[in-house]
Amino acid sequence: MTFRGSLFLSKKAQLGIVFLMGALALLAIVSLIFSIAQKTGDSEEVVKAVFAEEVRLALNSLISVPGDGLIQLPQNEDYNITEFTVSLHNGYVEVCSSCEIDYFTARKGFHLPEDYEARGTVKEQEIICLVKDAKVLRLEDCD
Amino acid sequence: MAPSSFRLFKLNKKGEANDANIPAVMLYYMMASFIIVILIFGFASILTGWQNQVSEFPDELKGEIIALRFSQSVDCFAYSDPVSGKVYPGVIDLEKFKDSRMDTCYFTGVDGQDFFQFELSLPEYKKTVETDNNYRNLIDHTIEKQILVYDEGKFVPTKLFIYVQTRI
Repeated sequence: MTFRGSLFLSKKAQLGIVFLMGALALLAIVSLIFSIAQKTGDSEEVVKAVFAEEVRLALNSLISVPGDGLIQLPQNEDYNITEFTVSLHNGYVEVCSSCEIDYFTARKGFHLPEDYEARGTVKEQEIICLVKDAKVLRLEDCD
Repeated sequence: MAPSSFRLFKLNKKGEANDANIPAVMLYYMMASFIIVILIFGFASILTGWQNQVSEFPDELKGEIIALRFSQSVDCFAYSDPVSGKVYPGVIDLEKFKDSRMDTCYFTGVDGQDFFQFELSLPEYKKTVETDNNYRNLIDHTIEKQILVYDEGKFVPTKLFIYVQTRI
């Protein structure tokens, strides 16, 4: 490409600039792709979704227990839930970090037998307890 | 000599694009930018799909855990001693084995198409119960359990078949 009015560069230098710009653009694109991949790999969205499912499975297990019961979560020490808020409602469990934004909330639904109730919210705890007390399922601190 | 329509794309002797080729060069860069943006979005959507796949639990596990309640919970079909109140997990009370009891045990209602549905069958007694009307006999997998049935004062060993429908 010839740049008219370019007083300082010869034609060979102009070609070099085009190549340099192309290389920089390619570097920017590759960096962007790596950044997206890394962010996805470290993504807490996966941890939230997995933990919400774990809470749901634990809750369904507790429903089948005759009498009272308690389950500590997470069962796997490899992942960290201290940045999350976990809340239990009648019909679904929510795990969120930026709880004001619904998009970043992992939500899993479940169905309770008649007369059962589920409630409780726990914020930024390393371990949480899911407790069954007669027909009430509560999420609470383990302390 | 190249056809006139190709002159726009032809470079000069030094291989440089001159003023006459600027539309062609601009078109190239526009097309390249568009394709690169499409590729980046495609890559991001592949990663999102992978993310969903990684965080998914097997349907067989989810079905098994939900189905535990049918034979274990007194609020479903598990037998309990009427005098002492003791619950016998793994023992199904044949008197409870009805659709009406299933509605109090596991009822999904209007959003049931997104949830698991079940059919329970005791072939030796020719009895079946189904979850609500979202069960459409679209069986994904079957759970077979060895249980006891409480029938007229007797505990009888038999098999319980649980047909699992994961989605409509």
